[in-house]
Amino acid sequence: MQAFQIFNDKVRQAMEKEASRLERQHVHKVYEKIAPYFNDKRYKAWPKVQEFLLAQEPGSLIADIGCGNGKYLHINSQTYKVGCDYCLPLVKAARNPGYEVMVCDGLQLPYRDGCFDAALSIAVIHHFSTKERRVLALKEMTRILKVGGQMMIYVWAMEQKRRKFEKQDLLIPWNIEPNTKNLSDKMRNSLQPHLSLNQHFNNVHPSTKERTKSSLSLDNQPSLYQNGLYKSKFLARSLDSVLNVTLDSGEGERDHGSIFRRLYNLCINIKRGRNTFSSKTLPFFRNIGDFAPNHMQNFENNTNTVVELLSPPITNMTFWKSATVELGNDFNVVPLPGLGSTYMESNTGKRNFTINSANPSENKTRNKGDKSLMNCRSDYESVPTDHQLLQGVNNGCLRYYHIFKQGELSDLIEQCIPELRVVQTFFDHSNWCVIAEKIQLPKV
Amino acid sequence: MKLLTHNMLRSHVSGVTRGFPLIIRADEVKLNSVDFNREFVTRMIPKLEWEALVQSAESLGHGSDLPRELVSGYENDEEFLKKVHHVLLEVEVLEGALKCPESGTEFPINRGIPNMLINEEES
Repeated sequence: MQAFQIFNDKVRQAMEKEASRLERQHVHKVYEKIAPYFNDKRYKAWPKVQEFLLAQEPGSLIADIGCGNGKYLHINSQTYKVGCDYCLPLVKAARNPGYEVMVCDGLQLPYRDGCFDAALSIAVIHHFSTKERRVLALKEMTRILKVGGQMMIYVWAMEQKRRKFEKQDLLIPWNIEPNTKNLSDKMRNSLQPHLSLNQHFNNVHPSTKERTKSSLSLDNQPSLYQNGLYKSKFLARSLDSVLNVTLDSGEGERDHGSIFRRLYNLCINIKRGRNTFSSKTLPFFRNIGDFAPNHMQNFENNTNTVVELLSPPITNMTFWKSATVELGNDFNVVPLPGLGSTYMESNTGKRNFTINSANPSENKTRNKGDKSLMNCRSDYESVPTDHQLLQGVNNGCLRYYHIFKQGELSDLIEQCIPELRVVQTFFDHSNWCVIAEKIQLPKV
Repeated sequence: MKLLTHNMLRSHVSGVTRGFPLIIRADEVKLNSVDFNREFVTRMIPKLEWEALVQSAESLGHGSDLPRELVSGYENDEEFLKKVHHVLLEVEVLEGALKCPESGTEFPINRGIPNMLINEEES
């Protein structure tokens, strides 16, 4: 079992590293870029959040985790609020009116255990790119909360009336929401609010899907590997869904088995095609056969194939890509008609961004200025001009989101964080909201 | 950064057991005037790490003669509550650093904003 542990840890480390890189690229850097364009005036505090803050007793200590430019720090002057965010420019903006703010990582909160009476997490958890990290962020918030204290969490919802998401893990261009006068009709018709991570792949290289069924020879598509952005996109999906590494390493063999089964299934699929991976330098997966216990090594005697196939991709992260390709179909949600996006990279290396809509009327429906949508965090930022918008896209201002399905957040809490009891859950402003209370666990 | 905020902060460097209180190195301290709110201060006191508060205030030269240990019945001592109010809310560190008492890791404070990130991710 120790070998399993080592293997599991290695997988975890690789995932962690990539998840962190993805978030750096598609959350932190994007917010740093777009921070100057945030505009306070367009934004009104959501009534439910305001209500939550006003319900706190005088003298309460409240942590706003991911406070952005400090929208909620002014509510309820009888309490003491400490805001924090990863994004320094936003924290600086929040600091201007004199609020107590700091820069920190939501996965490592710099606060004492149990010192806050309440905590806010508004539109933050959906920026963590693996389930493990989302849970860790929730656990950190739980840790700093006192017993009996409540936290309010908002995450972007899958079940929105006017936005349809094809996938749960997406890269969404900043402020692409075209319900603005500043955008020309041309832009309105040509832009879609989100890019599906998998869709890129299918659309950019239409032949790839078929090809990968018979072969995983991605070597034929060097352009795919040249750009960090590309890697991130594939990764975003795969991080969560492919290996599904369980949260608690002590869960036992079942979980390890599940990982191996998935790897195995993956390799079987690969094996059905031609194995054309060149034997490059092998990372830790070279030794997968050594790590795997005997009973796991007897997958139709394919362990060696596993090693061979898995190793080269890990070196340059194509492992995740190939996994995505193979397993993608299993995780596809209902495809959305009328959406087609293409993200191309020309030979010169300069990125071009074109999006086609097969159904412009759907755009029109979506574009009729919907005021309720304006309140969503991803909408309240100032509207960029066409120029800024294009620049944003070209600069890679694509934010990573994990879109939550109904019940997903409360399930996550109930399954993974025993110290929290879900008090209330509701849909508000295109988000799922959960209010949860920290309870005293019986000491064993 | 006010001292009330500082009282909530701990070092989260891996391997650190308590990491509290963070040692303040203050290059610039500003005194603000904040309206005294008796109920607020009274309710806040039980939530504090008292010794750490006094220690930190003293290290900045703003100890205000606060006792090392909380004396019972402080709820009715207006003078005491005002001192606590001053230390908690009116003393602000604008420039300097916070130092982890165990690992020695320093977290800079610029323009009143502590940066508690442990290490910047490589881009």
